[in-house]
Amino acid sequence: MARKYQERRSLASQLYTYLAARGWNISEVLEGFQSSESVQAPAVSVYFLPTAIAELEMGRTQKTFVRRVQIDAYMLNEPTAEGIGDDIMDFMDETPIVVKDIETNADLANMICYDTSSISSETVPPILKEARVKHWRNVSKATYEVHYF
Amino acid sequence: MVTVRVELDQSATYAMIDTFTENLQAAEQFAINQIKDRIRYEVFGTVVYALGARAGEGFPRVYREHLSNFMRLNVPINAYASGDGIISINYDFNSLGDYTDLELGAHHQALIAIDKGSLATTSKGGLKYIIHPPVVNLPYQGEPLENDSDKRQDFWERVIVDRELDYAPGLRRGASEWTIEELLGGNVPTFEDVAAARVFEAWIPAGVAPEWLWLENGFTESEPRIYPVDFTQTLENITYCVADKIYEEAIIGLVRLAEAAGGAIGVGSKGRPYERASGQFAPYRQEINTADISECLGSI
Repeated sequence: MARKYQERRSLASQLYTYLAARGWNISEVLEGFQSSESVQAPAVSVYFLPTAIAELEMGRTQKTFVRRVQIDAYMLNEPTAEGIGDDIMDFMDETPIVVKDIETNADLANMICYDTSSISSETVPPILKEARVKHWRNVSKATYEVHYF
Repeated sequence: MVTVRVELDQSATYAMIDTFTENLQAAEQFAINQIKDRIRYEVFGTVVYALGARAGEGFPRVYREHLSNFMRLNVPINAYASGDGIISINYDFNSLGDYTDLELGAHHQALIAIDKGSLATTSKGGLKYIIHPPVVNLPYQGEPLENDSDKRQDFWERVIVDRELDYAPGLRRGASEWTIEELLGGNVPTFEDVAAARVFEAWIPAGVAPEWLWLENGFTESEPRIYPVDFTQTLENITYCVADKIYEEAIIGLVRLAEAAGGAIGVGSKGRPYERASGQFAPYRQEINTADISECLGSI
């Protein structure tokens, strides 16, 4: 669990930097939205989807873990949801994540999406048209491999 | 459109059985039928129940039962061999419904707006009682609603998380407002009531099961949250595993049976092996039917 926690934290941190550099005004990238309050757009949240796949590389000491990652972007309208979704997919495709130890900041692992075809994106409309929580949600998913040193 | 597509490359197996081609297509079809049956009757239900439980309390049992049954009955599974050792299996979720269908289950028991001008007033100018104010009965058909979205969200959150309200989101009654209990005759619906109403009053009559979208993408905005569980990717992984195991038993097992018998085994027109000498069926089919896929299902 601690391992996933550090991976998620590192991914969220680097995603925030990436989005900010592209002009997205997001106050922070959340690590799963758990509050009992409703989410306020614009917001971005990172989820690790349940998976139990781990691959041992024969003859090496490295362990490779497979992570399915979902990034939700809650935006106020459809075009911005689509737009940020495009940038998030680019981020998934081209940005290797350096997983850092939260306490020591030491590099622990690399987290990379090798399989471009695993990246998908869908923009979800507000489910209840009249709801107070009126925003569009872009859901981007990708499969990452995490290689620990 | 979301399609689950699995391609099983069995070209190596084909090369192995080059010399054993008698009625191979029939045997292959038999394996494919097995794959389709077991995906339909075992994989769908197992995946929906397992992932539904992981999705949290926002995806209650009534959704899981409905989605599982609906998929078993309504999702067409296409599986075919392309003749070069590639087995393709695909099914799509078009028949399950989309986000428009989710809205059929919205606003259960919400107050429908009424024309205030048509109501009699008291001598002091307040509106008279409405004994049975009109409420939305599912499926929701787009009726205009009495309360604004903020009030209805507050009411919904009270239902879900038992949050206290500062006011009763009801119709005006003179100087005061109706309480929720007054409005609904004391029967404030629980979340379980709402979920059941969505399934039985909205989605089943409409012939859809749009709750699959909540398993696929989650509902992470507000309570009750449904945690995303990667529904289609998991189905794809399990389908691949199951297809691989069944094919292994159906075809490779058949070849081994024939090899062990020194070529004394033939394959009937329906893919069933038989002993050439006696003409009797070899005891094989039962093994295919019971191919152990628990390892695949256990990986969820």
